[in-house]
Order: sequence, then C-alpha cells, then structure tokens
Amino acid sequence: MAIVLNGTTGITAPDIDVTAQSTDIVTTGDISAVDATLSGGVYLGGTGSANYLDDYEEGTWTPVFEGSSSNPTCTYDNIQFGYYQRVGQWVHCTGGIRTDTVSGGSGNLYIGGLPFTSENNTITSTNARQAGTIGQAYEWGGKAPSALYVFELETRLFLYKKSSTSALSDDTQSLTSDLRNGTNLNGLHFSITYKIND
Amino acid sequence: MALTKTVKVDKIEIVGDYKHVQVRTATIVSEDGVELSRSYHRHVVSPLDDASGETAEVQAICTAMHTQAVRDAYQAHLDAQAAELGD
Repeated sequence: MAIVLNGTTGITAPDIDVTAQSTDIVTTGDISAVDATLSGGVYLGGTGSANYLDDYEEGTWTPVFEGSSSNPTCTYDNIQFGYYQRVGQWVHCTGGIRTDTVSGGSGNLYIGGLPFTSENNTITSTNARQAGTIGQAYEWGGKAPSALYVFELETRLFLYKKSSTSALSDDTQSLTSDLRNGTNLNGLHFSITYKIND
Repeated sequence: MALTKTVKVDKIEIVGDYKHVQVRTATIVSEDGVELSRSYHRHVVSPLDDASGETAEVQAICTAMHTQAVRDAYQAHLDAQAAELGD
C-alpha cells in the first residue's frame, strides 16, 4: 500500500509513525524537520563508509596532574575545566588547569582525565603520537611545558618542555618536580584533537 | 511545577586491548517529569587506576575487566612507551 502526496498543504498530523515500515523511505526532495533522532548514523556526501557519521557528543571533562611513578596531590583553583566535542572518530578537547597547592608526586608529568581513550594506532607500534597545542603556560617551578601529545591507547596528555634555554634544543618530558607549590600556579591552557576507535 | 536534577552514569563503554572503561555521567534537569536539559561529563578508568571512587556498577565492571593479565599487559604497554621515550 502506498500513500501518495501531491497536494500543497502538507500533513498536519502531530506525528507520523513509520516504526512498522520495514523498507527505506526514499525521497528526491528535501526533508524538513525540527529534530531528527537516529539510532544509527547518517551518510553525508556519499554512501561509502568514509561518508558515514555515527556519533556526535559534547560535554565536559576534568583535567588533573598525574605522575608516572606517583601522582602529585593538588588542589585546583577555579581554573580546572575541560570541554570536549566528539564527531565520529575524532575528539576535540580544550582545557585549563591551575593549582593552589601541590605536594608529593614523582616521575614524568601528565595531564590525566581525557574523556576518551585514544585510538589503537596501526601506523606504528609504540611511537604513535597525536599532538596538541599549549596556548599559555605560566608560573611554573621548572621550565613550563611547551608541547603536549597523546600516545595510543592513553587517557593522559604527555607534557614536554625545552631541554635547555636554547630555543633550538630538543624537547624533554616535563616532571612532577616542575610543579610549584603556591596559590594560582602551574597554569596551563591547551587543546588537542585526537582520533579514537569506535 | 517541580524542577528536579538527576546525576547518573548513563553510559559505560569498554574500549580497546586494555579494557579502558569509559564512563559518561549525565546531568538531567526535568520539570514535572519532562526533560528540559541533559549535559554530559566523561572520564575513563584505566586498568591501573584506583576504581574505589567509582559507582558500584562501574567498580564491578572494572573488577571483571581489569584482570591481573590485563593490568600486566597494560603495564608492559606503558613500559614500552617509556622505553620509546628513553626513560
């Protein structure tokens, strides 16, 4: 049975229930609606798997300082925030962090708390890094971090600083000992876009 | 008119070789039972993380997923990362 619409006044019923419809609904015209809820995804600009968008989400996350051997104990001030936006297999994160007190901790320094685990990268083995950007770093005890990235299968950002005062020097990992104890210190504002697995 | 705010874990995902547990917490504001807004906060529990602060449901999943074998494998993965970085 088919319903053929060829008038100009449209359908005024509050809902059209097509849940029992087992075949595709096809139109060569436009579809206009206020909201659409899909349990699957949507193909955009083509019908290949590369055109398929199956997930979108936005929300918040909470960045925290972590150490490779032991985590520092920190109290954070009003700058401790993170936002994320997931579009398919890509996650864009921004964040800010600043401490009022720091004690303990040892080893390399990370920012933990990422909202999604990074992808299992098949390009290389362990050397799979996705880089982000530090917009501002201020009031650190040691050299402030100047770069960051996320390894594969990780929920932490690895922090890097210059190994010497020379701008041409290589990067070396930041340490928990680079943190300084005191009010409104160890400020960092950053962003990263990284790939995840479905 | 009754406004209510509900915070609950509404999605738990187990991801990857090392069974990272991705937790989504929803904050839902409703008026007389009709949802007005929903926002999300996310975090991930890694195999070596302390899950004692998680909800009972998340703790149970972490206990089931983060076996000693998984924890050892993830530690080996982290050690390989450290070796890659020359630590």
